[in-house]
Amino acid sequence: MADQVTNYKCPACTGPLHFEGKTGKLECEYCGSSYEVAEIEAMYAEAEAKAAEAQSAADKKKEEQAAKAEKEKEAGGESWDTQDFENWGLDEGMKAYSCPSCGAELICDESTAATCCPYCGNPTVVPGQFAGGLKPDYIIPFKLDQKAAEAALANHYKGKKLLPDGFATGNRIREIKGVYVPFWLFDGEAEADTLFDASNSRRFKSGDYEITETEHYHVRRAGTVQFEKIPVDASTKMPDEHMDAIEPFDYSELTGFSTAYLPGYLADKYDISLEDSAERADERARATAVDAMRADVKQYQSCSLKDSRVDLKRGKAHYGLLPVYMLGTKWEGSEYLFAMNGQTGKLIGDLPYDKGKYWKYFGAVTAGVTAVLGTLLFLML
Amino acid sequence: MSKRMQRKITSITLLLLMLCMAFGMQTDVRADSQDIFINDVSELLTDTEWQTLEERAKELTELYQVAVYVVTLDDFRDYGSTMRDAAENICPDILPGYGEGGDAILLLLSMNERDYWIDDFGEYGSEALTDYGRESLESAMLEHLKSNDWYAGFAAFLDQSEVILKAAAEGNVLDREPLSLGTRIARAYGIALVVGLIAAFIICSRMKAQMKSARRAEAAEEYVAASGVKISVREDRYIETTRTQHKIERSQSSGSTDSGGGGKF
Repeated sequence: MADQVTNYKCPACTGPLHFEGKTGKLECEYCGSSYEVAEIEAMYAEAEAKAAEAQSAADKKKEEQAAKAEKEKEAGGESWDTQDFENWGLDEGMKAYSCPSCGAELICDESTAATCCPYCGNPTVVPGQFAGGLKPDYIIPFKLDQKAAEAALANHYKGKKLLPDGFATGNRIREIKGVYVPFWLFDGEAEADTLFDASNSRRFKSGDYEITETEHYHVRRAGTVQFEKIPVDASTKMPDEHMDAIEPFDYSELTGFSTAYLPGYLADKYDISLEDSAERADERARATAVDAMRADVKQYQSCSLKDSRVDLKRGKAHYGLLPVYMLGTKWEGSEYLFAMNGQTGKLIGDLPYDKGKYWKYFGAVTAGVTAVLGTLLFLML
Repeated sequence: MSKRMQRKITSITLLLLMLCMAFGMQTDVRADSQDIFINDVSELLTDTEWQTLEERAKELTELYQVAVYVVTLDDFRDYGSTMRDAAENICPDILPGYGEGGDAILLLLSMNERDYWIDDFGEYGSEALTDYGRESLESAMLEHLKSNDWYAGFAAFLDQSEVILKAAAEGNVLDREPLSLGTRIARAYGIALVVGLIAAFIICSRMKAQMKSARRAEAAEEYVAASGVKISVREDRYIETTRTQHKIERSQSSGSTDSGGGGKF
């Protein structure tokens, strides 16, 4: 049996509500009414709690049924094993839900927390994914819409001289998804003890000789660096390079989590554990701690790291959902993935380059420099 | 007066003149020293060698109306802070050159550090001795000087000076053959092509790098808390001072009286 998901419905017309980043409100696309997040949150708090309980009870029942069937099988019972019928057609890691608007069955990844019904298009929120201990501490609501993402992508192509002809026009956007990506946000402190080789040089003339005199120093800097909320994406679906490159997010807009921000967007709960994510935050903290010590070595002309020791004190870890647009495009059989920060509008994504254009520019620059410089040298010789 | 005595007097004259110059005294020693062309203060030559060379230098001077001088010193610092200074203090103040114009070619050796300096003085002297002419003097004499064959070295200097002065007297100053048109084109555009290829590689590599923007973050400086960096230890320990030195190469340009060139032998 498919489990129930939640639609946020307009109190005025029962039409589906979706969160609008520009206004920061939930809006009804049918009657145009808009509601504050807190208003809808309060209205659905009880319903969500009940749905979460029901979800939990359904999961428990499923487990019991599975255990009972296993027992019967072990006891050599002659009854038919029907436990898989309920999840017929579902791969491991998938879940089925029933859309409350049209009754269609929604097949989702087990980490999906918010999605849209592919049949009626209504935004739905999966209860229980963000309940209890799984509830995110923070969320940054979307500020930009899909049109901004499309415009940012078009802008991303500008000034790229090696972009193949026709890529910008022929590269069709297959899909744009606004996704609340789960991130672990790590607080912590790094204690760094670093040793640098530093030197200052001066040049002067003495008789017929130019003398270079270099003073060498061993420079030690030690201290602490405090970090706040180093983000590490906690979803296996999101490429790390893309999630890193759209940073930074403006944390001044971090707000307490509410499912009322989710309608209209996709959302996943984390599927990479805190422990597995921590190492990436540690690496970044270590590198930054050494950089901070180096930045304090100012009075030398050259400075190179000789030795360093960084001890990390891990602080509080937060769980947050951050807004990201994922844009998928296809051109000449190859797929291209772009990501845009749904808060700041920073868009990144690797582009193909035209080898013909590369060599054309290479030849043009070579010919230009050769002609101009060659003529000057010819006149000077 | 023997020739050796004459050389000694010249050497002493040179030093006295420098002292007089240092104390701003008026001197009139030009007349004493102007007829001596081989001023062997370091006494590298035998009397016979000195006499032979002196006659040869005098002959060249009279024939081409450009004084050809050789001066050997133990330490050039007695006459100036650099070899160039020493040469310019000796000529024309001590060794006046030829005629009113003071035209001269001077070879100065400083034996302590085995430095040599070749310089030209006077308008005609400067015209006659080009960079190429100076290089030809160097290549003629240096091998001999390196093997301490002073007589042969100075003789080679005088012989090559004659070649230079004779060419100048005939109106064909000894200079480099101008590059042929083909060589100029090949050199100019060859160098420009190499520079162009390097420039194209740098520019196109940057353009290619623009196409890749998805990168893993290595640091987290955006997430350092406000006033989150606290330095507790600042130790700067001096280790040592190292010195490297290289000789300043001076090149001579023709037509200039304050140019010259030198090196080690």
